[in-house]
Amino acid sequence: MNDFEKHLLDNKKQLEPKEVDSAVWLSIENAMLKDKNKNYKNYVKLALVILLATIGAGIYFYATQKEKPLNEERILADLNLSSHKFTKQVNMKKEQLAKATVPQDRIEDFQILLQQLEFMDGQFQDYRTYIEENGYQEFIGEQILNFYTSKIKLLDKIQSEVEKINYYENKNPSNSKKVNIQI
Amino acid sequence: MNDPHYIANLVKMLRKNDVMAMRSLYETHAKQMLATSLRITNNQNDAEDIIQEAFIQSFQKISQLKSDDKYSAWLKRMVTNKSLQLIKNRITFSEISEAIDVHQEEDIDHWYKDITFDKIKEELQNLPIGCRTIFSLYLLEGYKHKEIAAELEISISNSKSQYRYALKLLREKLQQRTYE
Repeated sequence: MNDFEKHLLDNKKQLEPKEVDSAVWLSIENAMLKDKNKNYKNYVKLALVILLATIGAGIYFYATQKEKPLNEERILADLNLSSHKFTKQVNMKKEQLAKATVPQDRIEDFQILLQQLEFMDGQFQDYRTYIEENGYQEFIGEQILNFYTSKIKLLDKIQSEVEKINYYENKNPSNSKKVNIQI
Repeated sequence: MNDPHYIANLVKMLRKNDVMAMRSLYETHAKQMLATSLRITNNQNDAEDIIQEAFIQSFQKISQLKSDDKYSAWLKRMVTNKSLQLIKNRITFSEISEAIDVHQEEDIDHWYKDITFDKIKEELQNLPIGCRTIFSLYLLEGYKHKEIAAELEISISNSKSQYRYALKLLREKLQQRTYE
């Protein structure tokens, strides 16, 4: 390296421009600000996505947690509604049968049917106790519905038996006293 | 060049997205970076665009810088690469037919002492693009001929010849001006 080269190297700063256009920094600042805003927007977007996901997960969790009891409640409510409907039918039929009279000597004909009825009522209480102890289970619901159907059929059978006996009684009246069926 | 500890501290602050650190790093490096780019591109607008791009890149990708005290060299490398990339397609090298020999004793008379740096800058800008680039990279940016040759895809001996040619031309032009 000769002296001229050394001279240039030692005074390198003198070869630099006296100043840099202020527009250069403004452009850099602007670009960085845009970048910062872009990052901020991305953070906001991310936060929104997380918030929505959390809300979604919360709703899903709440719905799934509530679903089981809701279903059970709904089924029990449906069951109660059905029970209520069936009970109404059963009570109507029972009232009818309670008013009905048959000759006293034919009351024994009803003994088996009435025993069946009593047995069924006992069964129904068992279902209720099971639900209270173990919660609702689908098969119990089915059993209860079957119970009502069978009970109504049984009451219909009793009613039909009463009508049949009274039909023959009217045709050929007996001296037997008329009594109510103890239902 | 500024105190390396000061620069390293600014880089530490920059890593925490400190805007004042960005501004300070720009203030401490802008002139030097513009000079580096300008010596290669020889165009004010191009050089300003390049340093702007390099500063933004350095701020955005500061996490890629492993050592805080290497910021200046890292930034300079960016500016040089970007500048070289811009001129690579239009760079040509003058045919050097004569043997150029620059002896140390030639400068014993200190012929350059009365020449202003503005004049030197002007004559530097007037040098042919190929030899000016090599002259700037070698003498002022501290590149080795091997590195220049690799960057510009030329031979090492060509890089050396172009450097000597630039030095000779610059000397002639400046001496001519002292006699005018």
